[in-house]
Amino acid sequence: MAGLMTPFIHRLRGVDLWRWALLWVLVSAWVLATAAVMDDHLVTRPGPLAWLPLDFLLAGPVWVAMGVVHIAVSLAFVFGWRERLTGGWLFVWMGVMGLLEMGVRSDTMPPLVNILSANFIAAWLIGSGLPGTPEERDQRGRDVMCGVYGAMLTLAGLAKLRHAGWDWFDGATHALYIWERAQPLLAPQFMADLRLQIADHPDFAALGATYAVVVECLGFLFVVPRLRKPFAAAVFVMFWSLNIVLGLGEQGWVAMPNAIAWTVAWRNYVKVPSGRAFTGEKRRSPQISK
Amino acid sequence: MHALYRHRLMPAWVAFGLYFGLSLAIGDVFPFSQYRMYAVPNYDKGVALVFIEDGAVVPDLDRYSAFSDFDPSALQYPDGVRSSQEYLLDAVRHRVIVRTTTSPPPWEPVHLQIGYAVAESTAEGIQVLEPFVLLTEGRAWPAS
Repeated sequence: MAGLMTPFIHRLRGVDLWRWALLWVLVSAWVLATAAVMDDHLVTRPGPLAWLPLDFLLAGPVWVAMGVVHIAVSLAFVFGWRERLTGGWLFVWMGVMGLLEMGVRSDTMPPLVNILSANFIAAWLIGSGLPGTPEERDQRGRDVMCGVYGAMLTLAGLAKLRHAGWDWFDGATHALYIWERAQPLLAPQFMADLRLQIADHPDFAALGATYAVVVECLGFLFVVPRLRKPFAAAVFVMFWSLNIVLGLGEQGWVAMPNAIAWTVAWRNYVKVPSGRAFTGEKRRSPQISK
Repeated sequence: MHALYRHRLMPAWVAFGLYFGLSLAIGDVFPFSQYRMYAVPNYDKGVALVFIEDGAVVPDLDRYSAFSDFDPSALQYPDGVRSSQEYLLDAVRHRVIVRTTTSPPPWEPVHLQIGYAVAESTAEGIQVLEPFVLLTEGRAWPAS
């Protein structure tokens, strides 16, 4: 039995850390979407939904069936099976799910987790799809993902400064945001109490807001390989702080950069077996460049 | 060393530049979004939703299976009142619309008021200016 399982276990060990993180992001995106849209109806028709009759997807049985397909395709992508096909499907499906959620909630913005996962998948497909050895393509795929993530964060930081200007550093404003997030609708009692305490200290709120916008504006640092780990750690601190004081549970935005930054260390730790790379070709060398 | 970094940096910088440039060029279109998020200037008052059932504050609307007599169009903050949580009011309006019933459950409803509290931040901390401003009210049936 153990012998039969060995190839499967080797295969599991060979899955990069960022792929596990992406699997989690994809599955959680579907779970969140299910809670928001299943058995509901479109209030608005954003984007292509104006002419694409996709309402039938919201019906319970259809949604569940699509969920099974989603998880199967996600697993296939994560295990590197027909990446172009499965990745392309996931990119389109994450977009459709985002549009459906916007339509049901009459929202103008798709869920951040959909933007994140669609961008990462597209970045990987483009980066790893260019010519090169399997190692080069694998590395380029991760580098391109880092570039896209860095751009998303930098844009988020600059957008805050563009829209709010110096007011962004006003602690009173952020104290009010935190107070708004302390309502029982959004937080359990102990968390609401903590937020109310923090909201009473505008200087502390200003410090946190400054830290967040500085980290975001420095998103371009994620492009530089040697800075990825410390930058991913800074992102970790930022998002967990936001999670505690504002309840913004965008954990995919924490998990993905950290998983990409630590993928090489993970490979060394789990001693990834040499052999078929996920690009579908034989590795020329078992050495993995750092 | 330099060659390695140039080799790895170039794709990452190209991706960075492409995404950044496309986002600025295309604007607020999925997935190239550049929403202002929480970047609201001159935000001097905060607003929090409040639900009152028969005189007592309740945390959310999850406990109700049906509504009646509410005016969904009133579930909007008046002009000049802003909240970083406006999507919550959208969600409440949506919930009230889809669960408004003409054939209510056989058990007794409760009287439910939906409104908001207003606060401002001062040197002494958060000061609640208006504990409750009514938006709409009606009957709600607790889930069985």
